[in-house]
Amino acid sequence: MKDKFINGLLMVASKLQMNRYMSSIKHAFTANMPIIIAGAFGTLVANVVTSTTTTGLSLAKLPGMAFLGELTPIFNSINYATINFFAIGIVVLIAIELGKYYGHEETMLPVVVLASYIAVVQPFTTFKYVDAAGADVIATIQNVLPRNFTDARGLFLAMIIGIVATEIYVKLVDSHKLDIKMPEQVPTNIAKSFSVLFPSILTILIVAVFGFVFFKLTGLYLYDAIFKFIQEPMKGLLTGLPGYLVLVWMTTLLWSVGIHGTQVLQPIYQATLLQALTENMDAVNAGASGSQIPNILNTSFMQVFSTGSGAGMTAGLIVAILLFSKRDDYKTIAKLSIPIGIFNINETMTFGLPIVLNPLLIIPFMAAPAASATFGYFMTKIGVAIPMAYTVPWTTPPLLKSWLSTGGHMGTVLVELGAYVIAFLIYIPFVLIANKQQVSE
Amino acid sequence: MSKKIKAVKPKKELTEMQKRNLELRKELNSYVDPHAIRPFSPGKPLTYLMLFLLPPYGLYRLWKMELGFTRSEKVVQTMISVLFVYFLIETFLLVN
Repeated sequence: MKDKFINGLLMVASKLQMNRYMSSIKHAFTANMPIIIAGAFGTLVANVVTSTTTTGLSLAKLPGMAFLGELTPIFNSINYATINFFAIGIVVLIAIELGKYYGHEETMLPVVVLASYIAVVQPFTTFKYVDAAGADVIATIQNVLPRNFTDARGLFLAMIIGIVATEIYVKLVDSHKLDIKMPEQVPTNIAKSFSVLFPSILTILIVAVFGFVFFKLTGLYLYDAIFKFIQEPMKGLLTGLPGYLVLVWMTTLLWSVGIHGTQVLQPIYQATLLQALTENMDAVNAGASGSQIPNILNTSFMQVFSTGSGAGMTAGLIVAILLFSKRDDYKTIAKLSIPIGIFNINETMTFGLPIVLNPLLIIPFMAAPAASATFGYFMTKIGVAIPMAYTVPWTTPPLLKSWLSTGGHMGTVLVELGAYVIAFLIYIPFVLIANKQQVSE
Repeated sequence: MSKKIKAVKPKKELTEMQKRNLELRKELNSYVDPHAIRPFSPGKPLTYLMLFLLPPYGLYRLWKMELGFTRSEKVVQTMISVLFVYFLIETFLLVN
């Protein structure tokens, strides 16, 4: 029964890891990660260093430091160029990454896919204003690309169109039925661009017609339908505590059978949790601070309260072993794990102790991150910690990570410390039981 | 001081399912993704910084130096760098 269950988990993990769509999405987000971090950095500096207008702390508000305010446009531009073009970057990246799997590395592919994406979005935006007579007027601006299609709100449409348009393009090009044969005297690069001419036009046309027909049949734009029926429910699920805890358990469950759960499940949760984070960044840019920041559960929260010091919050286990273990093998591995644990890497613990397939340690390994996430969530709810609005590389050391992710909020740092204490308390009984176990040679 | 030590159980032969699981796990963990992207390998973080501080030098590092940037990274970083410069110029023009 146990073996069958493990087999089932391994099969699912294998399918997720080998799936070309999942891999393309994962690679696209990985390539985009430095851009998100740059955007977060721009927001952080604009609000904590150069801002003279926000309500919170800022270096520029100190006497003699007002000149820093002059630098605000630079950091606002960083934020604007990065966070507001999240979906556009993802469309292009998915096209390139998926194209690699089919051996299509031509420059035309991401261009065609991006054009297909633009073809299904509404080229206008509406806004409300009060006219001179005091009446509400709704105005429409034509021929613009509204921000909800370029920032994180367009992510799911971007992922779907990225995959679908690439598939159509690849199928059409590989069929060679639409090739234009050029005379031999024509240079190869020019001949190549002609051979993809009709597939390119047809790809954009198919996607555009589908978007048009969809609107005519349902009365909804493709974006609105995806946003309403996929993106928002998914966000509701993963940014609510129960759904988030299931995600944390799934991650640690995969780890406990020896699979890198965080990486395997990344394509499923990353878009949603990043969207939550960018919404927080937008809120900060709009002047929100502390509890006004909307999403508690996001990628940064996960990095701090669920995978801090590595999956399973294993810093708690290291300390528990160093203080209570009588096993030399455990102590040696725990000591070895400290320097890399500082950078949130814990493979020495998961495979060294091991935690993998070790029924005794799997229990706290799954319980500790869930308990610390629940603790972090409720501490944020009651205002001891604040929602995180910035992101940092996942290798940033614990405590520094929560400090940077909140723009220097000490309450959140203390809550993170408390989360490690909880993990430590959870691991203690299991370390004591392990003392009594026969050391396997 | 006496220690209670459990008796060592004789090792059982692995079942077919267990052998398959071991193989599958080994296969999964040894899988090397041919398209894997390492965004924080040496030299890359400085390039990201330069793309905002000194965009021409950042682009030089991105395209001309052998820092292991994949095509995806090159394309998307260039896009963002161009957008950044555009918005920066636009902002300063609007302000002044």
